Amino acid sequence: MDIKIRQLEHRYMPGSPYERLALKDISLDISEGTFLALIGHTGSGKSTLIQHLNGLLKPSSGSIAMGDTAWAAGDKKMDMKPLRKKVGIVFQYPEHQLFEETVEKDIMFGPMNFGESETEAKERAKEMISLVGLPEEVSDKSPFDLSGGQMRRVAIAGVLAMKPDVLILDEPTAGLDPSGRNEIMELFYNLHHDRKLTTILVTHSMEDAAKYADEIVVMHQGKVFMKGVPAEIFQQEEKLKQASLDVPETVEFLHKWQAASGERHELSEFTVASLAKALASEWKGGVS
Amino acid sequence: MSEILKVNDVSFKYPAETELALKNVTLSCMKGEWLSVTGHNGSGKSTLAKLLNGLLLPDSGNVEVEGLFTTNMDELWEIRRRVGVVFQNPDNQFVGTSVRDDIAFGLENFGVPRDEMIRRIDESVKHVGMEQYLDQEPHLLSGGQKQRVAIAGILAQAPSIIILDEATSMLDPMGRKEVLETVRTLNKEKGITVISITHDLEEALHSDRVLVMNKGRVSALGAPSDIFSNTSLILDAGLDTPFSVKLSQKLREEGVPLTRDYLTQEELVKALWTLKSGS
Repeated sequence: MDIKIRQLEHRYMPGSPYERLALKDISLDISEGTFLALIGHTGSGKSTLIQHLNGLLKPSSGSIAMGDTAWAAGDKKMDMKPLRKKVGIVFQYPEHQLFEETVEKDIMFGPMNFGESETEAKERAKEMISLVGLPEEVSDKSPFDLSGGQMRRVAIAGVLAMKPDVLILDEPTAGLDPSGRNEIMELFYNLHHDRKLTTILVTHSMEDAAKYADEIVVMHQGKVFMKGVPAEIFQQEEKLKQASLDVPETVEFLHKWQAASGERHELSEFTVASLAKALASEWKGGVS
Repeated sequence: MSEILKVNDVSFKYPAETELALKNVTLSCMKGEWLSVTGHNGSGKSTLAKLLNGLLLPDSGNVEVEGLFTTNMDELWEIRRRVGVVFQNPDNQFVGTSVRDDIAFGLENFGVPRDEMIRRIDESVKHVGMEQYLDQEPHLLSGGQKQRVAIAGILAQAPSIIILDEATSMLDPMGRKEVLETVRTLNKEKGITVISITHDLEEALHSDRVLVMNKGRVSALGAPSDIFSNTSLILDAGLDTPFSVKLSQKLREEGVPLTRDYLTQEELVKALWTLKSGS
């Protein structure tokens, strides 16, 4: 599903003393199949923007098109349900939204709410429990008896059970331990490719943005501040600093090495392995 | 340095669970040190934190803070005054309608007289750099600022120990930096002991000692350089090796003759530079 955003503006509490302009003149095209990382410090407008993508918020001005569904500021109330079925959002700390008696029922809620039969919903719950790496036995347990990391997985399974085309992830790994973080990110990355999803990842982790994203959008003061492929974005350390953001550790290290040795390297990938390769070339060159 | 806190052979089980959350945990913490406690989700880190100031009581064993025991009901409130906890979610620990009221709340609980209260509030907000915000409402503060107010609330009670229970995990990188810098200053300048429950490896690297929890047990306790160069220990505990250690290892695989793993970027740059100028 291609996403088109045109001159989007969002005002919270318009006409009141608390009025605040949270998004200004946002125009973005996100093509189907893109893995996009949305970065920016707290209050930069990331969360406001993603809530527009399934109609949880209405534009104060401007327009949005998600595939064939389009709407603009001032439009009559429209039925967002078909769109919400296709656009799944994993909110921050999604485990706070668990509510059913059992894990299975919690995962079934979404699909049944969107009209799937009980049999189909049960089938999907089973599939999703294994997909997110939980043991089969959790299905009959209360979600509240699980550990924090497991509850997170149940909540994610509930969103995936609706089989969305667009997956929006708002800091999905916050608070998880490093191995849990890797597992969850790998899960999303594999799903993105296997199911040909369009994925939007809101993150504070430059490492994740560098590792998984095809494109990065940097938000600052309610505007799109930078946009490009990771290599372009992370070359501009000064500009990122203006938006109170850092570069990934690999880039930080390269800059420190350059300052000490005068050697320059360009990374196409931001992994530790590719950084080690680039640095090691200095030694191989020196010996021969 | 003297021992300020001792955990002696503590086991603990949550009532609804069958498995022990903590199994025979023994450790001690030195006065003025920064101890990081790390481990996978469900390893028992946060349970341990709650036992340290008597929010939970051990099923067996005991917890001793400056000679007081959490299992001694007469001493529990004094322990809670001496051991302040900053919790994970900045929005769940603000009780007042302004920064001033919030800090006053804790002091009222301990029956501190008004004049003394005013003096302590003024002093503690200065220590966390929030003196400009005394009359600010909580919802206008950033996450990092809220956590600093929580720290001021603890400081006002003249604690010996501050426990950070994943206190920076819900903050953005800037908020994280500002909170850690605040605590670091208190640790250095006021000698307050810090026990930080964290997944943040870079933070753990800069502490005096690191405790690794694994499935309710202490799996290792030592200097960051010993802990983080032990890759199998780290991976087994569901953690990750720090960036510079990983890079040191990959560089060796690529044939760069480094003799050991380096913990920080600065150390590694220096070591590489020494290698390069020597060759």
